[in-house]
Amino acid sequence: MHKSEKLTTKAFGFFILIAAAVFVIMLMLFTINKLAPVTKSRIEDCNSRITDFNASLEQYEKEGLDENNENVKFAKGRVELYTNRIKMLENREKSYTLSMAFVVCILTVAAAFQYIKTATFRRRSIYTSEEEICGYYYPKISALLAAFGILMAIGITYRTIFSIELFDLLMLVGAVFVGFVFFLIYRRAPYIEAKLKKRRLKKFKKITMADILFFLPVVGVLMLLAVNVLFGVEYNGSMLWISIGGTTIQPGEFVKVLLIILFASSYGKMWRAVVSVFTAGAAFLVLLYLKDLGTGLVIFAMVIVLLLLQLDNKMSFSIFENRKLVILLMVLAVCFFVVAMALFPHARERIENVGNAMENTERQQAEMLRALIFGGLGGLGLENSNYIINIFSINSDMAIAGLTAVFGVGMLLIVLLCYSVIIVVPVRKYSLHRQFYFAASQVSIVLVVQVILNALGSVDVLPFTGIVAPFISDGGSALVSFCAMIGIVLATLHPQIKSLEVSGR
Amino acid sequence: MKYSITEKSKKDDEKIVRISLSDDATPSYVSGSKKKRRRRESVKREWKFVILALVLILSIIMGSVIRVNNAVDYITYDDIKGFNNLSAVITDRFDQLIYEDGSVNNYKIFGNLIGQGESIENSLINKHSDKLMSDDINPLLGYRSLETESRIMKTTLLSEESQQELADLFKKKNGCCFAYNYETGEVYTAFSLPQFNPNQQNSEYINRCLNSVYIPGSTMKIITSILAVAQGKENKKYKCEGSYTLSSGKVIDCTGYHGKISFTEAIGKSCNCYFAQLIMSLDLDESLELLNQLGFSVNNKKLPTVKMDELSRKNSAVEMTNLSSFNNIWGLIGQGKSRVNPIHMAQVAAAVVNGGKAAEPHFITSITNPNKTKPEKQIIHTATTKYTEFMSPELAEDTAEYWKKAVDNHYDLKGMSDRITYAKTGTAQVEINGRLRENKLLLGVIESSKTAFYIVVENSSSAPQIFSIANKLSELLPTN
Repeated sequence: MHKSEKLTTKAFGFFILIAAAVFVIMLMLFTINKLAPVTKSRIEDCNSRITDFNASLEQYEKEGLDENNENVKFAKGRVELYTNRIKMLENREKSYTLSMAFVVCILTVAAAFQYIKTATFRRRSIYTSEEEICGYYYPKISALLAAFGILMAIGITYRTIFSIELFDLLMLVGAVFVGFVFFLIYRRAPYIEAKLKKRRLKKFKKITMADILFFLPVVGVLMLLAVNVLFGVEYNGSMLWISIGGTTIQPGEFVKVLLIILFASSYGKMWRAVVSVFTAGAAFLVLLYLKDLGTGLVIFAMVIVLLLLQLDNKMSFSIFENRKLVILLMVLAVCFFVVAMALFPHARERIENVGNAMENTERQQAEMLRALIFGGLGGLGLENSNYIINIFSINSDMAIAGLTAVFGVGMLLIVLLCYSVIIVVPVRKYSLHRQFYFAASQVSIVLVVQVILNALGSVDVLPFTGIVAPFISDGGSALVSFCAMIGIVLATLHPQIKSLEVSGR
Repeated sequence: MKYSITEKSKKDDEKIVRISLSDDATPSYVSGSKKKRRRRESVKREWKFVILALVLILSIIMGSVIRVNNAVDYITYDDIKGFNNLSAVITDRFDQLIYEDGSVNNYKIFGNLIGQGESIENSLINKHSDKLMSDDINPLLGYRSLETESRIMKTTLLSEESQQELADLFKKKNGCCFAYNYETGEVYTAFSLPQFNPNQQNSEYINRCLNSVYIPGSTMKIITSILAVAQGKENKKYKCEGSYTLSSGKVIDCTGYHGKISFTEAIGKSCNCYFAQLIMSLDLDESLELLNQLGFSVNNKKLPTVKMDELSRKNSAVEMTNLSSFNNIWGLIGQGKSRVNPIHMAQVAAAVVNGGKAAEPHFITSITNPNKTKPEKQIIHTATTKYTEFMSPELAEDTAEYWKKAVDNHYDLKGMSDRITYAKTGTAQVEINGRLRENKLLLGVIESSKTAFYIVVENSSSAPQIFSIANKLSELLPTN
């Protein structure tokens, strides 16, 4: 590669990151400018509601109703709710600015980090040449980071329209931190293994990092599922949440990350592969039992992709060397899926309900479709966002459609482009070590299924599965798990990874 | 080629296999032509993924757009009102606002006629929603291209206060009151009690003028009289001895002992015995034909629904298979299986007075769209008067003459205003939940203002009450 070419690719990588940062700042300024009057009107609305409910409370007092009366309870609850909402609205611009500043920081630090890495890499590199880094890895990583940053920024902006608290910001920092930890663990797995080996007792000398990355997820998945079944808190008719110290956690989201690590580390051993596929099957069944059709579908797609990769001639692995076994497993998986759909009526009902949302005007998909119609291609705009504030799960399960309804089709296009960058970049080339290719392809399929189900489920084209949009939707568990996935992908994309094999015994 | 093993070595008693397929990591010993081929394959593979990503984006966007486009058909008047807070304005005949935003204050007596939401289907707003809202959607701007001024629906109804005055005279009894001008078709009032209350969960959704049928009581005798006059059977006198025994042994009771009376006397005194004998003398086929012409559904025959300004009303029904059977006689006297719709009865009465034809009732004078600049484009809907011919002019004239004579000479008109030219009261016995109840009904015509009316007060047998409603109505009507 010529020297000038090197410079171009370097510049290209930087350009992507800088453009992302500019986009994020523009989005922030635009939204703050537009948000102020909306906030004001919403605070006024809350105040008028509070006075209404206070008046009716006085009336109840005159009538002599005691505190146990349902009307009194309801009115008091509403007064409290709106008071809290006013507090939140007063704080939200501050929270929003801080969150956006955080995202800009991530992008800037990432750019700086990449630059330093590239500059100093050559000296330390043994296997990989600078040409490879500049021509191949650098723009790829930059594009992925930029897409990630833009999606996070859009997500924060979108959530701010409906609700954002300082707690969300903490969650954001935590999620990115978790992602970084996953990145470190995954990238440095061979180093960690080598270090461990030096200190390890003779007894455990045979245990490798691959073993740890296999057994921990299996135990983790089974434990998360058991905890979810035993201590599940019912909310919206399904038991997907467990409550810890005032906040709720959705274990199903972490199951996905653990399964990705499990699938990847099962590379090389037949029995491990079979165990991981069966663990996934168990997770699928338990999640369907807990009425989480969406995550069940994601896990099903993950297994199918794992099996499909076996049939690819150029990517023949050593997990299943027997092709007949792969085809048998695939047929079994599909049968399993069909039987599970037949067994769980709530899952079947959702599938049967597709296409007739408008006939029941109360359904949230119908409300969303109306919002999309009223918005047109340009969207409702921030000033009309009050129209959709009452749609249930507007900032989680209907995030992509809601985003389109507010900002228009242009924003949808940006979001989908960002998603496709994150989806395509990890699987574009088979240049990675297979174990990492497993992980990267699983992340891609999770993103594909989640994006499609979220975008088309909420407009009544596919079954509405209550699945979140990656990086955009509200929900700490999902954000943490997706940041972890990005960490894994970044680790697999890192140029050094190619030179560092994880031992496959 | 499945994969290439580029390096094998033994370190720490472990086999480390290094496998790479990318051209980037092509080992140095791979020849030049192979390198090129691999590069081509790799580029192909990359494009495959990029194309897949584009297909993903396109399918999501197209899927959403197609679904949203299909959903446009389901958008209702209420949806648009919920979005831009602009509802139609509805006025009475004096341009006074009677409905603006569906709120409780602007709702009162018109509730179940004007309608709100999908709960009241047979209502003015629901049936005319396409005219009351903008239906041109701008695909680029969505519904932000909506109008800024409300469309105005001017109705023919009397003012809210006067209708409320009438409703107050019902004294918390259920019932309905319909009055319309039989020359122009303008409906003056069509309220129904109990009225619709949007704040109540199980509120009354039905407008009884449109959607109900009643047992007619003696008001049915006007219909029977038309049949008799048409067949020339009105000249004979019959004897009334307080009750009349049919050949089957069943007895028809009368309101009193009337002796030998004439046709006009029988109408005036509402004599059941006279009418029983009169009905037995009628010809079945001719009667069936005339009843059909009058718009009755005879023997459960299905008739097309009658529409007035898109609002549908129920059809009146009579059973008539054998004119000497107890059930059929009792039906034509006004009990039994006869059911009449208030609006239909008012129309027939109007036809009798108006030479055989009566205008079809209509509620809307005009619908205008003030957003349009040109005056001719502002008008969306205007009322047209159509006439229905119920009977021949001669028959109508003859019947009207008998009815008038009966009202003038033989009717007990204590408490009824002079303005009411024709009237026929009725009392219907209704069995509800095993308890016998009486409904009071009044069919009448006020010639000075060309108005026909039908009033029903449920669970009441007080004639003064229903007369007071009719008197009030006659005062409130606009005189031509």
